[in-house]
Amino acid sequence: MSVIETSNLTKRFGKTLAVDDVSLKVERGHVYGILGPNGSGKTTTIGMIVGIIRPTSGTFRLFDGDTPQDLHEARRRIGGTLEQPNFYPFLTGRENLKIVAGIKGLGKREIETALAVVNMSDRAHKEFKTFSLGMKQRLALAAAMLGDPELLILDEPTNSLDPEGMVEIRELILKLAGLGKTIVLASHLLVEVERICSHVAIIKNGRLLKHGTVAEITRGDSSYSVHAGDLNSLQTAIENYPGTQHTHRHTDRIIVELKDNDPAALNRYLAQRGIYLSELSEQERSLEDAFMEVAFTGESNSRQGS
Amino acid sequence: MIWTLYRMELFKLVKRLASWVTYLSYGVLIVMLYGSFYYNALKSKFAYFGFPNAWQAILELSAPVVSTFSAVLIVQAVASEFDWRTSRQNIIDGMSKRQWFTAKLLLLPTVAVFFFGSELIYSGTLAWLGTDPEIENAFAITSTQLHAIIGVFIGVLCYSSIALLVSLSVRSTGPALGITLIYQVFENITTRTLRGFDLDRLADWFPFQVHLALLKYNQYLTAGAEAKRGLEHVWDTNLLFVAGFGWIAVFLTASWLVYRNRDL
Repeated sequence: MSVIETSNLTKRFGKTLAVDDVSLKVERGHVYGILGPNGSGKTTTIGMIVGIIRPTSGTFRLFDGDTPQDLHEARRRIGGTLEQPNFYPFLTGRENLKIVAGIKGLGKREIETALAVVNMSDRAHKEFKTFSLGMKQRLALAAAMLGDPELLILDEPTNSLDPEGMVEIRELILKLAGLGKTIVLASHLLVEVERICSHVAIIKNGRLLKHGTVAEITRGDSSYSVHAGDLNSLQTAIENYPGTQHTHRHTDRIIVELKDNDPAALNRYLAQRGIYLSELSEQERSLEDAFMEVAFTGESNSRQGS
Repeated sequence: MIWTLYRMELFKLVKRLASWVTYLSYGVLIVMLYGSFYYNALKSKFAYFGFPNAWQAILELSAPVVSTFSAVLIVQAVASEFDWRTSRQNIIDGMSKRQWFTAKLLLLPTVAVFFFGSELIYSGTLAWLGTDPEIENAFAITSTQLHAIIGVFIGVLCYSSIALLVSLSVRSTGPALGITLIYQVFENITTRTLRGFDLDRLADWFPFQVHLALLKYNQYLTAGAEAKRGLEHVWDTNLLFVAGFGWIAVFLTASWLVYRNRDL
């Protein structure tokens, strides 16, 4: 069952195209990262899904419903924060949650449970305006979790936090993911997304450039790491191999990019020349490498299924 | 749900220091105004502040103050939701736009009743204390006074609905407050210009002019007296009521359309 499904979602602010034809699908249980630089359209995409921004064109479904009534009902099954924690500064943490609970039709028990999860029970009696940024973010998470929503949408939840605060929030999100929640996490922090998410969508200039599982995104398309006893002979042989696109020598291995993406053929070729490989493995990239490649080559892979 | 929304709005209003500062400022003005009337009546045998004469002072003198402070509180309550971005968070949390708007709408009569009501209670108490016991039926509320009370209430709602529209359009407390207050000046200049071209009939029906006319006690007295004498001039105040309600409807509809059609 898809929790979120967008189809050609587009948003234009005057002459600025903020979101351009974005189609993506988030299944139940996914921890879905929306990755992109600042101003890439992540928040606008989420804003349309949570109902605060009207799409210029395109459609979306939440929990398989797409009528206004369906969407309103579906949004009651969602907890979310957008950009920064938005609360009434003159109310205490607990009073702010009382407002959210009132909207969601919940009681005091749920408020205390949510505060306990984010470890805020003993500090929730203070006014929101006196909170540190970390406390504000945690309160936002508590508010999002009120009523045990099926889908959590978190936009830059570690924004402006110090490293300790970032770790704290990240662990909290991992804890929630461990409980089987579907989570959509928008961030420009690659490490954060790589550590937390099962699926990733890369957005730049409002366009969805690539999406899939983290493994799919980080997998090198046709690059392999090879190693043998004599690296010099190996390098010479690989450079002479007709299927080689590009080679790069590291101190202990050679990275080879193949034209036909057929590592077995390379292995046979080398064996015929008396070079037996001690390692032949698919070259894995970090999410950062993958993001840089996708974002800066402008690779359009919106056709690739998730 | 409506009751929950209403309670939430009241909760926010009561918990906010700015609301109390506004109310206390209003209270000080009202206490000074009617306190001075009562004090003068105590000190001077020529002055009288008691029923039924006090009605004019009670209903007309403080009406612009009630109206202005109600509008200020509406701006504070509505525009600040955009400053804090709680307007968008409320929607993310599951409120529909219609529910959010309804909650703010409920504030208009509440604030009007609160300000006007507390003024009536305070000034009414002082007037009751100062009433000459020998005057027959001094405390009776006539249809003239009822008309005037309704008129002031409509007038206050009219200006508050302007404040709501400005708040939802400007979305920032400071500028919204400024525009709401400056609007009076702007409209007065416009209508004076129109009157200069003998367009009084047009100028009379501008929203703030209708609002001001609704606050004038003398016209209710005149209308009441004319009605007693069987004259037909009484429709003037009824027409003002219709015009007041008409402007309220226009501003509330415009507020809803502005709020509904803009991204948060």
